[in-house]
Amino acid sequence: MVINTLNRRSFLTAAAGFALPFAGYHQTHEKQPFLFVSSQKQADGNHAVVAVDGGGAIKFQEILPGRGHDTAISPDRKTGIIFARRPGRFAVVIDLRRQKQVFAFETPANRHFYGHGFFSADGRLLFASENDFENDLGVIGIYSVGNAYNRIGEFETKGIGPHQILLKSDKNTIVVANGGIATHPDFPGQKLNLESMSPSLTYLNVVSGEVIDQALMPKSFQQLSIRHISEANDGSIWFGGQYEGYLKDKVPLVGRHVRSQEIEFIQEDASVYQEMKQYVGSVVGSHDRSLIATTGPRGGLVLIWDTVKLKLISKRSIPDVCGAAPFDHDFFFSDGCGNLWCKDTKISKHNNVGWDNHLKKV
Amino acid sequence: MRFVIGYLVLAIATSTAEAAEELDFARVLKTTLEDVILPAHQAFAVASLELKEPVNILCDYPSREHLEAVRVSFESLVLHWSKIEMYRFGPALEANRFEKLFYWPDPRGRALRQVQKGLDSQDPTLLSIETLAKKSVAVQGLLALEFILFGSDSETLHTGNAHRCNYLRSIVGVIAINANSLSDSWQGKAGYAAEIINAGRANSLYNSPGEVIQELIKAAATQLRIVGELKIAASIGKLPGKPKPKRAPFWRSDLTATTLAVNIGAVERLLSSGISELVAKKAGNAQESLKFELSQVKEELKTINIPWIDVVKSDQRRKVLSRSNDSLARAIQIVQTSYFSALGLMLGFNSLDGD
Repeated sequence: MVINTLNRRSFLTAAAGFALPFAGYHQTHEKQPFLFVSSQKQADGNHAVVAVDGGGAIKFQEILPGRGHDTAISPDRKTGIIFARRPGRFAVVIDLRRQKQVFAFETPANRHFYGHGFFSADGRLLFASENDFENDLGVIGIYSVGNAYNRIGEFETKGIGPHQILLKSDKNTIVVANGGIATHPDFPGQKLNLESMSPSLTYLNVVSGEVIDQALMPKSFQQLSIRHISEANDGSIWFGGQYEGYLKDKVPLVGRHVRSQEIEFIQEDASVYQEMKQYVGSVVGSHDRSLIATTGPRGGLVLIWDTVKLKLISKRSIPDVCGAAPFDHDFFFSDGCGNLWCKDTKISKHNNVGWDNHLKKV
Repeated sequence: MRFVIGYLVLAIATSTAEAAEELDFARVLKTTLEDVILPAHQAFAVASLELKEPVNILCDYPSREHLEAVRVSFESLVLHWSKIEMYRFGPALEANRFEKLFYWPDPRGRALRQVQKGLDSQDPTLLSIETLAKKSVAVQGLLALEFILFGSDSETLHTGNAHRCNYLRSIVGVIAINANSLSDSWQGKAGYAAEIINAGRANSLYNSPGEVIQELIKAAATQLRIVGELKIAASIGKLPGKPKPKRAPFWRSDLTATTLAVNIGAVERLLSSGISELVAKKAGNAQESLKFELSQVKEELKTINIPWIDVVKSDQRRKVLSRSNDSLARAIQIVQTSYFSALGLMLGFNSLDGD
């Protein structure tokens, strides 16, 4: 079903003037041929999907019917799908070349999106993490791209609260971050099973939905919700957690999983994890996947990890940082204060807006 | 009873406005902890202990009168709980205390199902504190206790129902343990209050007293949202003629409306301990507007004198509740915008509302 309210389109021709690019950066980063896409909360309270260039200038934007979360980019990079943040049900299709919204669709009434998804390798199917909230089941909705995003089926994720899902580089394996937290749209904001949550990483065959492997969070960290994941260059899955327990508990937040093995945490000085305030907002790999960035909005920190040496190699302070995308063997970041950052340099400030949780490179 | 925290060092000599503001935050935080948060937790702990004696009397000498005495003590306990329900951070999150005490919302009715099953099957593991404490959180908290006292067949307690009454004894014991450990965790040299009053020092849980004040204001706003969106709106239901009164807590004991008013009163009490005074210095209208909106809701809740189930079935009452909900929405807006901005507290978009 197309959502009628999505017709309100607004290209912000004034947006370039609204952003305040930092001159020093622009001398070397002027016409970047790529875009970054993110959801944004605007000054008037609206939410929009916004594309910026490598200099941080807004190229186009579309008002969303509600708060967006992450974006799936098609393999040919022509299409972006922005998913509603939970418990929203809308998805908006953006033609990235024509720079406008071309379609929108919804989950069935008994499902809602969790905000993440991806395209199949051939671009014909779209997979989205969803909540079967009446049965407390995590599912992946499957949508036919060529058939007006008709929902053609679903896979069970074998866990509650699937959040980020990705297609491994083998193009055949779905990895699901089952956060473990039960929610219901009738009780917004309420976590219904904190005492019994069981986060996991589940591997599914992309064709059959068959479970290939599943790794459960160790009991001692049962309240560490696995929310965001990224594949490293050795095929291991790195994850960032959000802890639902006591603020005084000392909990590792970043870990990795190798198929058929147990979940392992990346050993780091406890004070580093403590500074992250028990919360990782996104997990993103560099282009060659030798680096993983984990952002911590509560701690105002970015941690960058070497996936070969399994070591922390950089720690940067960016207040309210959350969005991250690969850039030039490093990363591009966005924060809730309207700033965009290239590596460790602020490149533009957009007044009175907040960049929402995730940033995607086209 | 006055609670004193001896760890606050106010002698930070500096002349900057920012530092002065932090001193104000530290002062208000100390007052809030000593005058509001610690006594409220202590009172809940005491009320949990006070339930033991009437329960023992009822079980040893079943009678209608003794059952009534237990129900009266239950009401006192629930009202004390409603004053601290908003503190869903810190010690409430340790060892799942919050869920153990208050397993709600429960959209699939797990608590009712499990409690009913345990009663029907005469489950012996419900009957000792040790075994009950290890069972599901759904069968050991205030709502399970409410079912024992007010749910179907609860009248058998006064005619002599040994299994149900012994479950009553053990659940009251478990609640008392959790209520007292919750209160204890806030207090003492290593308690949470002492920890957060030192916000900003090396390795402290919060970076500054202002950050703790921010946590408290956020807790207040969340409590108002829970009262409005979850307790009232969820009861009214989305469609006319299809109310869902059982979505609100404490409808069996007919305490729903009262607890809602107490929830709101507790928010007012928290903010009036000094936070609103700070806000008034910079945005006097905000404090007055908030007071107005919340008093409207409390007045309307006071007029409810019929069971909650009948309240939400009545068109007229539903309209009143909808109006209350609108007032609460405005109150939340005031807290989330005016309070934060007046106090210069940064409301981190991602840090406060991530996913």
